[in-house]
Amino acid sequence: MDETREGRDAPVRADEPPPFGGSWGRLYALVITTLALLVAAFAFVTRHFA
Amino acid sequence: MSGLDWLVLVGSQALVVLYGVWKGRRATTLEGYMLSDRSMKWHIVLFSIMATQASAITFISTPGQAYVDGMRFVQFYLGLPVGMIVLSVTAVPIYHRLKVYTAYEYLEGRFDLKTRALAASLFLLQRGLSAGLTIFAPSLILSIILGWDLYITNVVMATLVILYVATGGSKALEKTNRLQLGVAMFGMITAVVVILMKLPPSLSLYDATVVAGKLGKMNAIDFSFDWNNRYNFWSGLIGGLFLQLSYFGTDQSQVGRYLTGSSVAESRIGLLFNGLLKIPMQFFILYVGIMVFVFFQFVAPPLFFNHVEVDKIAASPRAAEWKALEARHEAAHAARREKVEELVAASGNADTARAERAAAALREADEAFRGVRSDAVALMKENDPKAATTDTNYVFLTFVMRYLPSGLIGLVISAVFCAAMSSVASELNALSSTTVIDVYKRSIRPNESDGHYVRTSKVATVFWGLFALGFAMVAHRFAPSLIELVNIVGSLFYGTILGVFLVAFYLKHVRGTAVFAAAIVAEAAVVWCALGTKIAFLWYNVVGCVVVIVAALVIQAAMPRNAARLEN
Repeated sequence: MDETREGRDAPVRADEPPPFGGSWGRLYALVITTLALLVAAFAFVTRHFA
Repeated sequence: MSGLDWLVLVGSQALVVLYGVWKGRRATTLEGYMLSDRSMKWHIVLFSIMATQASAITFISTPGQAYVDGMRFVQFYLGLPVGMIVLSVTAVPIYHRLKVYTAYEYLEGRFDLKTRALAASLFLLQRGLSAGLTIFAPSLILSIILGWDLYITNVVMATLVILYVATGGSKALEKTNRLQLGVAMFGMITAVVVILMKLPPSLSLYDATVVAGKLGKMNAIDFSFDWNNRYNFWSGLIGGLFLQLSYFGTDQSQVGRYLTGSSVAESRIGLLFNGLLKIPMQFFILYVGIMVFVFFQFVAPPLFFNHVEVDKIAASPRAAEWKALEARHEAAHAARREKVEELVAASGNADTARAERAAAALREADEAFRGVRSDAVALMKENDPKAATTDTNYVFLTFVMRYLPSGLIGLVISAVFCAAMSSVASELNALSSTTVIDVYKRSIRPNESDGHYVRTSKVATVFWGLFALGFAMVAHRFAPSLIELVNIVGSLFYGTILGVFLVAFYLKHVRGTAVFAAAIVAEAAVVWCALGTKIAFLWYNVVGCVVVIVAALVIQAAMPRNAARLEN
């Protein structure tokens, strides 16, 4: 698979949708939710094994 | 190391360097050399970002950190995912829209030349020294563990990096970063599999984690607030957020990586996936250290992991006292091992009271064991006040050298080399870009051809490579506190630079003179925090950033209207 693509002269689009995931809002929510789940998991690990 | 280890090490390194030189051979334009023609897909951006951040110290010291201090270091990264979102929303579209080569280029358009020059100079100073430490730190550890010559190790590491970065620029390092991160992670995964195989067959992974937990090592989260506590939830989330915003948003070694994305979307996705993967990756590396810790509950660890210091005291007039401590250490280990086995047996049945009693007895035995180690460290200090009495960096590689089979040792050492070289490569590329774009092209030779600037960039890469190598050669004079120092030095500047960029992004009425003066005030405040208070260093990032913003607003408001208008 070609890993590069010609982008040098392509116009810059800040509102360009993500290649997957539907919208940027959803992707940001995914990152925050994952962080929250990791913190919860760490809290569980800390408490459970203490 | 055996012949097989050498074969794995030399073969894998040769492959990486040749691959880099081959992939970067067609970089003839400035944009191609510095930013891979802004043509990379998100997963290449992601691997490059991760490989740049994960230096050799990440793979050598982090397991040792967990061995000594438990899992709490993972909290250092809690601000990173939020930082990735903030940068995706703010910095990435701006940098792409302006088609800048470096982050500092943007500051001239927004403020003035002096603010750009200040930020670029702070970066060149800090990152130039930092590149030297990135070479020196793993070389020092490898030289002590393997008996290699420190200077030759420095020279080999620096030469290999200079070779492919100077030849192929950004494209060479983007391609090799992916390979290097792969080798580094494969080395760690292999190491943890071997550790698990070497634990007693009756001990499950859960039991191993219980043992670590009862000895206070599974301390992944601490919600209590304390300004002076280096790693807790709040310092990681808030202080860490500011540090990561500054590192990824204003440090050219990272900005240069995601500017290679072919669009705003590709750069953003690369950053967001870094936000998803970084914390689990660090958790895994720390957990490797936890498993080494559990392994050494069943097999006696050395009294001290830095054998150079041990050899020194063993050859000194205090040798007899050291020998006696070693005997006490062995006895304390045997007693602790007995308690570990009792705990494992007690955890296997429903009698929780028995398990609690076993855990309490284990903690007592562990305290006695650690007491012997404290006595050993005190004796080393008495014998030689300059002795390096922290051995965190040597724990993991000592385990690797003693207990990993032939071939895998070479793989892990290769992983260390890969991690070091991927970070240094990005640093050299960023130093070269900043030198050429923000200094040479801007103020010395503004109207030359692309070919001229590419050649100058190659010379700049070699210059910074030699500068870093030179610093690596003398860095041992500042050791052993150097590695910690570099993180602290980074935090001295990062907050101020971040503040300048945040003012640029969000406070449109603030002009160059106000932000320049504010940056100087903020830097003074950060230095005062470092020298005059006990505030943990992660908070310096917050202080620097907030002071820049507040001072810039105040100074701008206080400036005569005519002066402000003139700047506009």
